[in-house]
Amino acid sequence: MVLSLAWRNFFRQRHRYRVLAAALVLGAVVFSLLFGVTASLNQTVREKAARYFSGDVVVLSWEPSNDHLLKAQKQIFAAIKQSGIDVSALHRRSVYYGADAQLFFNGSSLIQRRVIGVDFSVEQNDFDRMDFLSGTPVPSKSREDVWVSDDTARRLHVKTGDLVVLMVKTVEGYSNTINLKIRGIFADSSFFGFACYMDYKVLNRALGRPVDAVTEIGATLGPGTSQEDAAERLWHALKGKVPLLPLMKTKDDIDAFTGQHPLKHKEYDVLPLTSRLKQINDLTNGITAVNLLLSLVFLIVVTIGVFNTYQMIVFERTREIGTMRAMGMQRPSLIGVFLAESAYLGLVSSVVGMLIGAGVLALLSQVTFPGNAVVDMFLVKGHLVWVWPWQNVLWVVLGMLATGFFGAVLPAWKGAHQKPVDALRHDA
Amino acid sequence: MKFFSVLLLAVGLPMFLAAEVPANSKEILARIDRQVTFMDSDYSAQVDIVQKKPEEGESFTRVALFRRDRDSEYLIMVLKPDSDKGKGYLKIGPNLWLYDPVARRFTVTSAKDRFQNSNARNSDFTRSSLAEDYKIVDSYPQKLGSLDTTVYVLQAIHNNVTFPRTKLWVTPDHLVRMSQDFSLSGQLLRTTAIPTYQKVGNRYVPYKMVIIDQLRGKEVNGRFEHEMTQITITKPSLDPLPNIMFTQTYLEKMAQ
Repeated sequence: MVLSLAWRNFFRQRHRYRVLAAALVLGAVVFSLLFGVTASLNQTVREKAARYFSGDVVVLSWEPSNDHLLKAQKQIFAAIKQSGIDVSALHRRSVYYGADAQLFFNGSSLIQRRVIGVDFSVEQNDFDRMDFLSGTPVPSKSREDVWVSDDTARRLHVKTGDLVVLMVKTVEGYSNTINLKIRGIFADSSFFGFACYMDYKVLNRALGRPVDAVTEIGATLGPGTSQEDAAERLWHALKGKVPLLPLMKTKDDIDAFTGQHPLKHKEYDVLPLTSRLKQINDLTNGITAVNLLLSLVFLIVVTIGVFNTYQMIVFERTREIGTMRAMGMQRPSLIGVFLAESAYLGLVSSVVGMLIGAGVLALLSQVTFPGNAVVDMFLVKGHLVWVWPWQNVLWVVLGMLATGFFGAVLPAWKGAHQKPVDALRHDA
Repeated sequence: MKFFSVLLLAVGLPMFLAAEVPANSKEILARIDRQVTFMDSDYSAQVDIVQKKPEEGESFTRVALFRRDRDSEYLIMVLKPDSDKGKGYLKIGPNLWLYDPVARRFTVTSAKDRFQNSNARNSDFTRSSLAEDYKIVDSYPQKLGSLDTTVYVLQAIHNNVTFPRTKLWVTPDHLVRMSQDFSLSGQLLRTTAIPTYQKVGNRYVPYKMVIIDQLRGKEVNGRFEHEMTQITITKPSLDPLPNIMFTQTYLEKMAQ
């Protein structure tokens, strides 16, 4: 009865709610933008980190001799399939992470923190999605190519087609060099350190590794899939098939474990991306915290506005309150009617606000932002990525309902506690 | 006729073999090592290192070098510039320690690492150990300026060396006059020239060395100029050194 009465009142009193609705729609638009931009920034950073670290979930191996080669490749791919995790891209890589890898061009040199040997037969599609500023993601016939970041290209003064020298240490510890042609330059903030990509067989030859060897097999997950959950499922699928380290949440946990239990033979390890780089978590948590703070401040401001407007609305409807009370409506029901009206208002405003917000986000994603080392980390080809996770809908609706509730509850309580006789005598 | 054939075989075959791959490569390298190694005494010297980077100017480093070759120990203390004064490299046992006087901390480093950001490697200041590290895979005579030299092409026999392949130009007095260091794939990485030696006791010490980095440099006025390190060794001495010099305590004390 309360809900239907509230809906009838809400519909009939719609002219009174126009200002309030406008304020709440504006609130919903701002909320939608804040949450949409936050989701976009977080997703882009995670996607870039996932590409750098061979996926959202990665299988690595550890051995006393520091031989990181994955020997049980078939079992790992079978386990990924068997685990049933939602995979959007697979990665099969031979990675060199010696701090001494250097690229030389025309007398200048630059250290590369990670030289990533890519198996293009597995991850060409994902590689194509990288933010290329020049060149092509497709390897040449000779495969003696290298893809470098724009930051590396700027510092070494190289362009696509230039011949560079990559110096690495072989597995025996000897200095080795290889001539490579710059095949493409991609936008990268180098937040995770300088990285370059090349064919994994060419890298293996330079390192003296077996030509088909890989050190990391990983999976980029579909949208909305939890990395920790996927890692756990993959770990269970691998259990019993290969010697496996216990599932651990952070890299520090692994270091502590291997410190206490020195490895005697090769052990495999399943790592979610979140465990591999504390900075990513700090960064995304920071962005989310700033968003929540801004949202809270905005919520308080809008709530104060709603409160003032509701006071006016309740004042204008004093005689109506008196009539309802005289007809026998109890105070809690009367408060319920006003709160339900505010909930309808919140719901309608949320829907309208989200539609406008999503539209503004779509327009924003068309804007090309000027790039620099910091901004590039959050953008794809200079653009914000348009993402709209279901959590955003929940946050915006909850935010507007809360604003309506907190703005309406005190005026409704005051209105309901007037004496019916005084309320009926009231002349607005 | 038969006599001449036998004579030709007796004289010619060893010469032919020597010209191709030396039969006693270890001995040849040991002789080269012996010329610059002080097994019967300690050795100390002052080493000035001038690092030249095209268009970036020069930087100067002076170090004191103390070596006890018979125990494979050495100490290198940085005397100049003031910003690096007190820094030291100490090789005792199997470890090479780098001492940072600011942090007052020792860290393990490698002889393969670059010395003080120059083109020299830490291993360039230590006892020569060619016979232990390399084998000769080829040799041939070659004129180096006015000097008659034999070129020895060396290949590493273990991985404790900086360069897997090296070429040496050696004069008949078993002194290395020039060397070229290569990567495993055969890329020339570094050329070292040692034009002059000084005699210390019955051994030799380079007086001047020039190390040219073949990969680093800059194009200046249309010409490529390599990064270059010039090393001058002065005040060589064979005076005995106290045992305490080759300890971490000594290095810490000297840095204060």
